[in-house]
Amino acid sequence: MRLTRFGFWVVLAALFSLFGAATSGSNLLTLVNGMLLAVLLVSAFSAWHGLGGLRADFVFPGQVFQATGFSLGVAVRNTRRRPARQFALTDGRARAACARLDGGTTVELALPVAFPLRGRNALRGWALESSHPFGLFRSTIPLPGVFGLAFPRLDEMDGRLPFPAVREETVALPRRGVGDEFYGLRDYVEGEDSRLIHWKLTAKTGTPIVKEYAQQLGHRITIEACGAPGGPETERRIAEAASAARYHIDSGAEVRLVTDEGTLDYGRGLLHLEAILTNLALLGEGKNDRDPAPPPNREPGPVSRAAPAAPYLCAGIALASLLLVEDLNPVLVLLAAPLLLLARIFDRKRIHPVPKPALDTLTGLYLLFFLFFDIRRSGIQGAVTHLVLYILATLVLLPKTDRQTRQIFLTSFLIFYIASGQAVSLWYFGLFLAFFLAAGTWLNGRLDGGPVRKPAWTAASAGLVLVSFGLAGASFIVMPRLSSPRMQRFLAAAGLSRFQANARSFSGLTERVELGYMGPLRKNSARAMQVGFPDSAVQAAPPPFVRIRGGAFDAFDGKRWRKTRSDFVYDSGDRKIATRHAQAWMRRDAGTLASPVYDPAKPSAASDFVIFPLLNTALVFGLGEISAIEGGPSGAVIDFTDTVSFPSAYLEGVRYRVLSQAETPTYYLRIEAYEGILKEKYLGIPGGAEKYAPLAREFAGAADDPISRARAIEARFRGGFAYSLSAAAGRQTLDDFLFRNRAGNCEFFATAMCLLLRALDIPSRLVIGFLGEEWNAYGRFFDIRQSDAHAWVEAFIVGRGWVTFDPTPSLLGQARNPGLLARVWGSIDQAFQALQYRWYRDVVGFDTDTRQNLLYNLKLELSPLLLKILIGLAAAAGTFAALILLPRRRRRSARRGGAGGGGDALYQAVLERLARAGYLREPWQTGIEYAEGVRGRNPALAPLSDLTALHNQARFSGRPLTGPERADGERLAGRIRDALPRRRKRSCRISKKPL
Amino acid sequence: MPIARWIENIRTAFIGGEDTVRLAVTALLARGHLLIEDVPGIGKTLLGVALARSIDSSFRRIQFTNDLLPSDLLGFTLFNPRDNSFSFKSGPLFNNIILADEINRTTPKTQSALLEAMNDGRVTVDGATYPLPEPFMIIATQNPVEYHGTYPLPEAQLDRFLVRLKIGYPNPAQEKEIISGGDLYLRAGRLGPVLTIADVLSLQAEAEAVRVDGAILDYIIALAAETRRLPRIKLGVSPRGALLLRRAAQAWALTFGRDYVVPDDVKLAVPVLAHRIVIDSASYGLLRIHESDALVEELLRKIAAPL
Repeated sequence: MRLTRFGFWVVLAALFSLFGAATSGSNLLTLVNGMLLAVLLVSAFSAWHGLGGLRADFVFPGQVFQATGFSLGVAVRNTRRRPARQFALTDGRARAACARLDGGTTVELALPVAFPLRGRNALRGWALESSHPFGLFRSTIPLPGVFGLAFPRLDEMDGRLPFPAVREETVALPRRGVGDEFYGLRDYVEGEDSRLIHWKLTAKTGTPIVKEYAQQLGHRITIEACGAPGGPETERRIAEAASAARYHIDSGAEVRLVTDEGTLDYGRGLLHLEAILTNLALLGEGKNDRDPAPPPNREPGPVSRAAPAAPYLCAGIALASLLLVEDLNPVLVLLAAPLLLLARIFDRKRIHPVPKPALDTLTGLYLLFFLFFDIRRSGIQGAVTHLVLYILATLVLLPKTDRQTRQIFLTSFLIFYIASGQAVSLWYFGLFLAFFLAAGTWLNGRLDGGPVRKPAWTAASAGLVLVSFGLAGASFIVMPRLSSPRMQRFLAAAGLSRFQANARSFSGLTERVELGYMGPLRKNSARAMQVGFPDSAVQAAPPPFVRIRGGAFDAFDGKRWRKTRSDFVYDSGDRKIATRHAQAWMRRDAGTLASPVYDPAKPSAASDFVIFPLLNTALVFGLGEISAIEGGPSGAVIDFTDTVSFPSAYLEGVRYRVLSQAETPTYYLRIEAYEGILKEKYLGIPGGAEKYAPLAREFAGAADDPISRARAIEARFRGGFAYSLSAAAGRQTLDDFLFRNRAGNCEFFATAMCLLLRALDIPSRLVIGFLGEEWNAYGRFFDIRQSDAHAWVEAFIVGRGWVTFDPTPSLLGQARNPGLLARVWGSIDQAFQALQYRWYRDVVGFDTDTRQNLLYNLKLELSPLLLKILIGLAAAAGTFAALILLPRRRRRSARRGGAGGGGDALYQAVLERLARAGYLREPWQTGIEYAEGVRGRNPALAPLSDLTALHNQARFSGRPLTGPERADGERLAGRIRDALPRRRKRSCRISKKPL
Repeated sequence: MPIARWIENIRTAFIGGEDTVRLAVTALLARGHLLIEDVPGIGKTLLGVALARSIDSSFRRIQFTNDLLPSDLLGFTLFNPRDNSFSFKSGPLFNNIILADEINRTTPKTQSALLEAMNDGRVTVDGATYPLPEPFMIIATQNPVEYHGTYPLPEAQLDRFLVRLKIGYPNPAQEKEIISGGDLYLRAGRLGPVLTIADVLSLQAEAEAVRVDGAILDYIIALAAETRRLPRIKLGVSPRGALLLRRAAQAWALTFGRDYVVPDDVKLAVPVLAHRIVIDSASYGLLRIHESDALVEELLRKIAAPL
């Protein structure tokens, strides 16, 4: 078994994608890598396993002449039960292919051969080889070297005797014939030609008499093949002798052969000719097994022919995947697509519109453009993509040989690879499946070097593809990821992290909350932080979600949220803390940073934060109020919006513990004259309150106290508005959101609710942070990803302080007053969104922690959902297999069944028992032949013959069995069952030896 | 059972394999003709004589020579000067069983005179058609080894023979019996008939009525189709070949006393089909026969038998 050239490229591609996946941390590259590994594994296994059951025997024709071509057959028998697929017989130069050989059957493959030497010729280097299923590995079974006997060359002769070695003598022979000499008399036999009757004698005797004559003369030929002990002269003489022998035998003479090695006495007829030829063939050197020098290896030249459709399909899919790459101009892709279509048409019509020199010139120009312009303009990634697209374009325009077709395919793979490294959309998954299905179909249908045939999709091929996908999934899960914070920092420093490159267009936490700024949002599944709990009680029963408070904003200018600066004084009991530049330092106390409200005596909930070097912010995140911080940087500041920040951005990540003594910040308790500042800061509405007051009153409804009004507004948002990340929703204004679209992302919800509350004179502010729901049971922490970034509202209720409100509907919330169509569309949309959510979280954002959690969950608790999914998958696979296999099984049983009557089922059952016991029936064997074979191996099973006779009667006579006959059958079957060994487990040894 | 008795009767004179005799009987039961092709001295003629003598029928042996003319076989119209009329003098073909010895020694002209007789059971001489007696069967022998001065049978002629039989050398025990006993040829000539013509005709009708299941027909068709597909066969089996295979299988089943055909009866394909295919091979003579037999056997190992 060895790697083919194409396999070598695939291995290279696998290594390349592994490198890409490892350096970029892209899970989609890992997926591609997993697929390549799976395909390699499946091919290697098939190649290793595939040819095992094949046995080959040479089938020589009766007579072979020197230097005369003939077709030498090899009978290949599949001794296994499973069919062998796509193998070929090769002698190192030519190939004879077989697409499928069923178990137990034989096929004869033949290759043209000519023996250059007289006598015994060695045949070496013959082998059976297969590169099934994908042409990546070629496994070879060498056939044992054999020797073929070649008769000397025969030349046509005319009647003359040109050879001095031939002596002729004429003798009279005592045989009947038409000569002159008298041979004898006999009775006339009725029916003979009456002209034979010798009328004189007949008249004498009274009975018809025939007079016979001896054959006139007999030719006796002696052929001598003696003399020089080798060399071309001898060969010429032997060939002459053989030709003479054939000529004289043909003309009916008796021929004798005299050689140095003995004399073959007079004889006539074809058997004698064969004896003479054999003698001549084995004369002298002919006796030795000679290894003829192989004829020059004629490699078939490249053949221009229409490429199959599949590589074009692959190229098309790869191009489509480029559309998922946002940084690439889609115009380029859309230009390339019709080119592909045109090239296909040109290909079919054998037109090559672009002459090669023109293309070469163009390529030179393009390379200059690439080096001096494109790299600077589009960056290395974009320029390389353009280059690969250009290569694809030139390839599809050139005339196609097999090689070019392969190159198109490899270029398509490169394009797909580039797209995999940059895309994250869910659509990618569909393209991924399509690409590898198309590639698999093409490769599976392509016998390496053989004719391009239509791919035959059988259950086995489908099974191979399914197994490959399954293995790819497993590889995806198992493949180690470099996802530790330290590694990510390293990658970021090397400029390889894709998160940094594309951060702008991803959703995630930013400190710039500006409505209509985002445009389309893409889910970023990069991990932002992990939140754990030191308290084991909380670990055992984690909350369903955590709301992680980051920062808050007080002022909205109609488009963007800001912080206004104001100085004030905290009165923390024993001392007063005045703000400087609107910020107050937290008190440092032996490794703990204490806020003005922190009271070590009171109980506090602790939570641990591990923040990854992804967030470009200085915010301190916490669950509820940040009463104290342990183990972080050496200082932190609080501002008026109750936002806690470290003095500088922690670009390299940070780890700290937060002690929390309240659900929302209570720092205001320590501020003198807070009410005044509150009214001044948290009630501002751009454009005045009049615009929003009616809506606010409508939303608040009948409620009169502030908290119920706020709850009513929150409920209206959750019930009547829809969550959306679409581009339109990302670019709208607040008024669009409130009065027209009623759909948007969390920032719109939070902003709108803030303004409505303010219109009702309830002070409120917008809070940013994360909403995490993903509990990692193995690591016992909440996984917080960039896509979990969120915004919500805090409102100040007199008597209760700051209260949290979240107006954003959950992802799967209902759309407002839906019609039927909208409801159907909505549910499809929601299903897609949910799928997308899982795709981002479970595939794009898969990493070591997720894997550990997955394995942990699998091991300890097969959650009902997972169980359902597994059962569903198994059912789907079963249905699929049944759909493919059932028609065949039904056909088979239809062949078997028929007017069998009662004995048939019994007979089938006995056959199955016998097959399990190792007595296999070849498909060509009839029941009686099988029964005889079985009896030959085990005489105790002789009753099978009688049972078969009964079965045959029932099956073929058209009469059902009578009662006694059926009883007879039961009895015979019982005797057979008794003669068989007791049923063992499934591991019973099945003799592969056919009968 | 008459057939078993018949076979036994033949075997008192012809010492050899039972299957050989059974095949000969099968050919007669299936209204077919028999071609025995083997090396000389193996009992070809003996088998023909014994088969014919076992039936109470007219039998004629014709030695084919290269100067035999069609009229020597079919008969001719004779002018009778006494009453100025023409009368038809029937030839030796007007008998139930004809032993055509060394059929390949005669010219194609004479060989082809047999075509109508073999296919339709009648002959046409000078524009008048005369029916041949029933049953009518030709047992032809030929020697494949010595082919000098012979005219190999054309394909059309070969196709008309239901069965091509190879007798093969007897095993040592049989050979001992052959050379130790009296003149077997004499014994064959003296064999008493065990069946009447009416018996034979009714057995032939019975053979025609043997049941053939649809699966068996499919099997036969698959075999015939495969001969047309195999690259080593230049010319496959004709539909007539497939039809004759069915008839042979029916008769073969009847010789075992069955009134239905089982797949094993179709395995008769070697003697029935092998001479109908033209193989792509450089060999000739006996070797060629062996090769085509082997091809058909290989074919039988390719097609799944119905169960």
